[in-house]
Amino acid sequence: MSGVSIIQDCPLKWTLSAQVTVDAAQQASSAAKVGKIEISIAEQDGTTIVRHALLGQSGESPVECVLTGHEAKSYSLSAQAEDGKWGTPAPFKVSLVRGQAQTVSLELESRAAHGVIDALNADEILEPGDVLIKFEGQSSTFAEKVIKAGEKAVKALSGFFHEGIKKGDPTCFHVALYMGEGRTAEAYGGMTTALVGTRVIDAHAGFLFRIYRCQDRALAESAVKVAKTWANERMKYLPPVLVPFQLASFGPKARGEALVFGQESGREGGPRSFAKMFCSQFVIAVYQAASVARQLQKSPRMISTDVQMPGGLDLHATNSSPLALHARLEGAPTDWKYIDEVLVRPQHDANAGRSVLVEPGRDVTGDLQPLGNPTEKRWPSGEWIYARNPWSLRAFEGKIYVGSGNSNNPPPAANAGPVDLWALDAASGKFPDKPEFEVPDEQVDVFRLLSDGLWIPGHDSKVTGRNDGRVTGEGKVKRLLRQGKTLWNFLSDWDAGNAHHKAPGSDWKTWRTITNGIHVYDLIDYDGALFAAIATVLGGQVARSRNRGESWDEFLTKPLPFSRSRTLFVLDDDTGPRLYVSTNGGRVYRYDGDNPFVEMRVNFFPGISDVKEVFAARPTAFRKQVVYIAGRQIIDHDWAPLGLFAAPSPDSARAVPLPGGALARDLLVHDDVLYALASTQPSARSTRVHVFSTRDLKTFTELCFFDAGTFARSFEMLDGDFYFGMGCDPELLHPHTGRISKLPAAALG
Amino acid sequence: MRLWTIRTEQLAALQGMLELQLADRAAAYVRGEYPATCAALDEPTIRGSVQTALAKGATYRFESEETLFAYLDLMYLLGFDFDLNPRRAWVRATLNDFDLGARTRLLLLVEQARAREGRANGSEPA
Repeated sequence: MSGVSIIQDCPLKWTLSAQVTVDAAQQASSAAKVGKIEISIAEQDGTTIVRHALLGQSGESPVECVLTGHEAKSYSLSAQAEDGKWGTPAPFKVSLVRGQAQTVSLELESRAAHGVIDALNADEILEPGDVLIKFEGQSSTFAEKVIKAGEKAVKALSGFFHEGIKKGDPTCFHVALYMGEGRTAEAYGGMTTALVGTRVIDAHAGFLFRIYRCQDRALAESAVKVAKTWANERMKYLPPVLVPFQLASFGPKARGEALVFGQESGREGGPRSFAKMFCSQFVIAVYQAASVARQLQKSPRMISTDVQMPGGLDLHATNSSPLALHARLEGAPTDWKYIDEVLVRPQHDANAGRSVLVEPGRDVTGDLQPLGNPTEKRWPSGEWIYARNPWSLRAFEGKIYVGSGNSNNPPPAANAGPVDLWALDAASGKFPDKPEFEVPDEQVDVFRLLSDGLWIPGHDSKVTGRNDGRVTGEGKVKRLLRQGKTLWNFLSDWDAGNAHHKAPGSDWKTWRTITNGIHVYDLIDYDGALFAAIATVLGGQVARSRNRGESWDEFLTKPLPFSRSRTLFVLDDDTGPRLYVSTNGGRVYRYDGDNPFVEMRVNFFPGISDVKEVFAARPTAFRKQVVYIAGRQIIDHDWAPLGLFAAPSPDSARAVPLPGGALARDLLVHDDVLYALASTQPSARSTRVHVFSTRDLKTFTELCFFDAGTFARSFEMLDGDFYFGMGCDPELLHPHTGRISKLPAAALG
Repeated sequence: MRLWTIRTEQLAALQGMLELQLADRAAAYVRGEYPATCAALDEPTIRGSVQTALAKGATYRFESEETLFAYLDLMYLLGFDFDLNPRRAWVRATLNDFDLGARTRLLLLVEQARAREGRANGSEPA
């Protein structure tokens, strides 16, 4: 018998067919080939069926029957290209009854356009060699602020120096070269960690760029080659504090320098005589190198006076600020074309392409009650703002405990401990005059509510006393004394790791008993014992205490220094509850009672290709699964969220992107409901904070949202009221960091 | 109430008769679409091509008459053994991509085959 069906289908069924279309003109104008398309057919209970489609030359896919059934049903259909670059703007709802045949047409829109770019779609707007001029946003790094201050001064004095500078915009403060495939080459970073290298354009999330395109395409391609050769992180970053006050004209020194650039255009790591460069210097230099290298091919013996430079690049690279470069590019329209102003898409879930849209929740922006900023007095401004991050909020005995501090070794706000533990009295909505406890650690990162009370893992031991001299300002001598003392003290600080405990009705008690536990990241109850996720000089370890912290046994997880056991969670399998630990490197280990822990060969972060610095942050038990945020290490211990995931077992992890691709930042469970705190950035200058809820991890509802100057890093719920702690990233210090707000239950209706 | 029962033998007989009718329609289809090619072929060869297409339905998971005819289009545009021909490797990726429905795979392959062969509107290969 053949495989071809001869008997017709039952006419009493309903059938649902779908076709995907894309506007042919839009497709033609986009560099993106749509490719395979995923059609998601979601039932009301959240069950989702996936079908696939492919477009024909007309921009339409063949109509395909995607589902049949007998019972009346309603579905919500959405479609998107597998690479996430095309998608339906909103789900299409359809109801089906017996005997009915319905065909749904799903029109895809490009998600690239409208001036919002990210690493995925950047190639649709940008071309390799494009010069990207970054403009002032609401927040900037410390280094960027220094540059901007200088730019404004130069602008005011430009009549004395350079008329052309008046064409420039003093709010421009950073320059990068686009390399293609979503990456830039640039001199970047903070004041101490910066270097000349390449990075993903998403690193500029939330900022505006003006794009200038070199009309000599061959020169642009050559410049990209030079940038690839030079930007290998050999050269460090040169803070250009004095640069704007020097002459940028293309005089004899500039020509000599350009000749060197050309001669060394192929040298790995950049010209030998340059150990450092700043952002605009680097971009000008690679273009000048490409241009001069071309001239050298024709005239190998040329001297500096022979050097010719195309319009827009006739600058002394070493003396040219971003403002000067911007002015030159603006003044050379035949050589450089202004393309567009783009916003780099703010961070979103790594699997945002698979997210759905839901009805917006209640706008509670006007209902938030500010409760104060308890850490602002100690860390009032500058880099110390970072230490105000309320890393976690936790309710206990009618109070809301607030995490803060910073245990990173590099700035901003390096090693900020010991930490003042502030506890809000929820009934009065007020913070007390004094902190409840001084935590002898650099940072209070998480609180764990365990069987015998509230615990704080000792993030980075700081038992050698308090010294806020760096915050209030210190002279050279005092700084040297402090640095010397720090070197001496670190042995004491590293001697043992801490666990801080508050039993109900008791005071805080510190157990300084975890041998060599430099970092204690997490604590959990398991099998009648207390377990701690720690990092020691040996690497990632887990410590076990059978007497609630008095003494500990230590087990190895991920060996070698800088390996870290970050979080602990428990999942059931056939044998009962099992303890797991998430380490950096995206790894998961299981406790079988033996030393070392057993490594699970699993992909715990599907959709994230580079898990080198990733671990499962905020693991939260929910409906026999662990729900967690993929966190990527930013500096030392802090992390940036990449996406939300869930796993009933380590080998069946799946992405759970929040509606609209919102970036999850914190999780909590109350009364069998999982709440996710998340944020999006509708524009360069605003952040929207969302609270989503779910009972089944399939369907999320947006409970509420509010607009703020920065994102909320943590939240807590007590008696139906929500509490939010506003945070910031190290590159985007925000003055609202540390603010605690309350959303009364009544505001949610 | 007593229900009618259709016995397996009766179903098989019905299936056989419908298959014959389908094969007749398929043969008529290729004769209409590809007259020059069919003029060079004898009737058993044409019938054989239809049987080949019917048998390939199980391998490539297509069931409807429309997709059977599309498979025949591919055979007459690209060669009767196009699915095994190393020179037609581009076909196999789509043909074996069972994420996609049969209609999508086969209709788009026919579209591509016609574009590649430069013979739009179903004109047959020389």
